[in-house]
This record gives sequence, structure tokens and C-alpha cells, in this order.
Amino acid sequence: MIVGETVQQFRVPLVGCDGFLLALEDLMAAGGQGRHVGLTVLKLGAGFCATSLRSAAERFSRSHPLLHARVRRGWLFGVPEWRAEGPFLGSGVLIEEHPPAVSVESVCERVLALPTTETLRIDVVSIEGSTYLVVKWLHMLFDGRGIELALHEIARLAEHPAEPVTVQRSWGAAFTLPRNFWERLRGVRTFLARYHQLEATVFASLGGAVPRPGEARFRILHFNTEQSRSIRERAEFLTGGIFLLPYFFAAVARAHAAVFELRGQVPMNYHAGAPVQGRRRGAKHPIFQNQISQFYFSLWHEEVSSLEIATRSIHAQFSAMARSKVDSSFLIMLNWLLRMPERLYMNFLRADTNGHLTSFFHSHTGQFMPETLTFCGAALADGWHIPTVSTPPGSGIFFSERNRRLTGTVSWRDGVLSEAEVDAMCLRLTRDLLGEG
Amino acid sequence: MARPVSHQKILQDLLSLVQEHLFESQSGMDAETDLFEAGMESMGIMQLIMQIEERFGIVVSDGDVTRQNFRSVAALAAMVERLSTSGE
Repeated sequence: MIVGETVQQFRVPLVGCDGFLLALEDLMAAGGQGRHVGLTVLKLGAGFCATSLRSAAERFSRSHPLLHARVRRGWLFGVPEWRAEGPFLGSGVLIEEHPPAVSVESVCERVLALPTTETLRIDVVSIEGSTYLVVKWLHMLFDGRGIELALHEIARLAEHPAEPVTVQRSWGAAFTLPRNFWERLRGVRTFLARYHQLEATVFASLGGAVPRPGEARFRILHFNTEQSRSIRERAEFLTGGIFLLPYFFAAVARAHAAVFELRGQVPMNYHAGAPVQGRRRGAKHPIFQNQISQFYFSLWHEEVSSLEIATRSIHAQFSAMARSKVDSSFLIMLNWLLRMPERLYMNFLRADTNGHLTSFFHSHTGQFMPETLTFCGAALADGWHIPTVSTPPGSGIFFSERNRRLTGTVSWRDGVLSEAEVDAMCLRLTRDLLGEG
Repeated sequence: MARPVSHQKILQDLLSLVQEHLFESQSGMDAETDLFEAGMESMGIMQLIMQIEERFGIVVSDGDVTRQNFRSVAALAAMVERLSTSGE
């Protein structure tokens, strides 16, 4: 793992899903939507030490060259790489402390609106006696699980103030691909078969097919312990066992259906992916890069009319894809697509989806930082992610859970949803999850 | 057809399967550890089902995929034994 402090130059290739994120960044830049960033919010108890955070963040920055790297492509069809030249100083993580604020949402909005000049930024603010950290990160460099691992590493460094800085190779791929071309060619057939199945689903996104400017917007839905327990039990009941993914995916599709109904755009079919995380539970590495594959689901309009039917349909698709290992097969395709220049990559995807890419973005990242109990001297009381989305598709709904409390984040781009449409989406989502109405 | 194996062997096989394929850095894990508390999710459950079917030569039907059967390695072992016996 340890390379040594003398390393001054390095190159590391992008991994499968990074290629999609790179193409998405290009689409967002062309559409005037800025960088593709995410926020992660930590709510801390008493005892937080800002000095300890600054020290740990500085050592984290000096240990990880990827925080100082830029994406470069050697030749037109070469695999893009992260490249950096040392010395790697503490500037990779920016920390800003603020006077007490009224709400964490207002801080998040302010941070989102700032130009993104650094890879990782942490804003510290006190609200009603609690300390909140608002962490802003680049999706090119972290996925949801990756940023949790990065924060866990900062928490660990804070507990070991005397630990010396060592440049770490904490990158790498969580997946392995078949060794030779012919094995890969055989392996990719599973994904292609699934892909052709999905071609029949004609769908649209709420944001429309054309990239257009718009600030990132969000609304957070916090569910208390009792509500979260009830949601879990309902999910288990509806999936006939213990799979939560189909239930949440179906609820997200129906929340989008509420807006299409309001707009009179019915009947509408749905097509979207759900990430498959490559890191094993408890893994320390790799912190960086998008270590995910995808499963792709479709729902016909008649299936979306009922949460039960939609859940059953997604459950059947999930079981079939998992058993045929579509996620592994898709990685082969992602790996090949890495060589495609960003604009061509995105045009290829958009051409196949009438420009919409997907109906919506969605993920459930599971337990939020389960391995982290304290952060810089304070108990980690709660936490959630606020991923931002591109237009198209213009909207997404994301979930995570901490201390048996579920949090949902509805994300969209300014101009994609009206306030009334966000209300309708949140109402349908909450009612479906809680089994009301 | 699956050959009968001892309870202890099934338990040991399942424990190493869960440790190797689903979790990392979980040194305190034993047969009674609650797998859901440890963070097992939809994809992990599905991977576990496929691994169990391959390792023990049995078919885990939808009806067998319950929280009760998947809550711990000990519960999984009981399910595997039952399915192995009924498949003979």
C-alpha cells in the first residue's frame, strides 16, 4: 500500500464507471451546469475539535495524490488518467469555519452555489447547539461509499495525531475483469442481451432531453426511528423477504410518476439504473474513484400504478440480473467505453435514449458510515448525502440510513421542477414508503 | 445431488464464505453475528444465495429467502441442512 514519501509523480487510469462520470461532466459543462458535485452532511454531538480536523485533513491531503490530480488523456482513444505531480501539500482539502447558522439546508445551498475550485471542501457550522460539517466533493473522484471512506480515514487520522504522513496508494479497482479479450467478448453478451430487452421501453425524463443551465436544488426528508422501522417492515413485506432495493426503486419511480401525472404526461414508462457497489462491507480501500457497476430496470406505465406491482416487477428483474451477473458483464462494456472521447460517449448514450439518458437517478447507499462512531472528538449523531444531478434527466432521489433513521434526498436542477411538483413528488414518496393512502 | 456433510463443516464453510465474499475487516464475526446489523444488503444477500447454491449444490427458492433464514451464519446452516436433506 505505501509507496513512500519520495513519490512526486503518478498516473492512475480511470476505472469503468469513471468514464460515464467524465462524459456526464462534459455534458454538464456544455449545458452550463457546473461541475458534478455531491454534498455529505455530518451532524456531530458535543466535543468537536476543529484543530483536530484541520490537522487530520492536512495529513489526509498530503497522503493522497489523487486529491491534487487532474484527468488527462494521452491520445484521442487512450484510457484517461488521473495525473499529479508533487509535492503534495495540505491544499487538497479546504476547511472553512462559519459563525452559527439558522439551518443546515441554507449552508448547503450556499456551499453548492460556490464555484468548485478544490477537490474536497469541508464547511463547519454550529446550528442550535450541534456542529454540522458540510462536505463538498467531486463525483469524478468519489462515489457515495468512497466519500464515507475518505471521511472515516480523516476521523481515524484525528485519533492518531502523531501518525506520520505517508503517500498512500489507496486507489485501485474493486472489480476484476476477465483476463483476455475473448473472455471479455463472451462475458459482455449478458449485458448486451439485457440492453436489447430494455430497448423496447420508451421513456422520458422530467428535465427533458436538452441540457440546460440550472442551479442544483434539493429537499431532505428525514424519517424518525419509528417511521424508518415501519418502512423497513413494509419493504420486507412487499418484497416477500429481505430485499430493500426493489421497494425503494419502485417508490422513486412512483414519486416521478406523480409529477408526470400533474403535467398530464401519461401514460409514462420508466427506465433507470441502480448502482452496484464494488467494495465489500468493512473494506478500507479503495477510497477513490467510482467503484460501481449498474443494474438497469424498466417499468411499464401500468406497473407504476401500484407500488406492490412495481416492487414485484423490479424484484423479478433484480433477481434475474443478479443471477446472470449483469453487473460483471456491464463492467466489461464500461471498460471498453472508457476509451471513447467524452462527447462521443455521451452522444452514443443519448442517441439510444432519445436524449434523456435515464428517467431519473437513484441510489440507496445503505448504512451511512457504519464504521465511524466518533469524528474529531464528537459522536457522529447523523449523516446523509446530497448528490446533485445533471439535466437530462434533471431529477433523482437518494437514500441512506444512520442509527436506524432513514434519510431521503430529492435532487433536481433549477427549472426542472416547480415547488408544487416537488411537493407532489415528496408527498407520493412519503405516502408510499409509510403505506399511507 | 449434494452429499451429506456434517453440521460443523457446513457452519465452517458458510462462515468463511460470508467472511471472504461479503465482508472485509470483520474479525469479530462468528456464527451468531447478526448479518443485517453487520450491513448485509440486497446485493450481498443475492451474492450469498448464489454462493450457497454453488457450494452446496442446492436451490434456494424465493420462499426460503426470509430474514429468519438469513439473520446469521447459524441460521443459514440450518437452512442449508434442511434443503440438503429434502433434496436427497
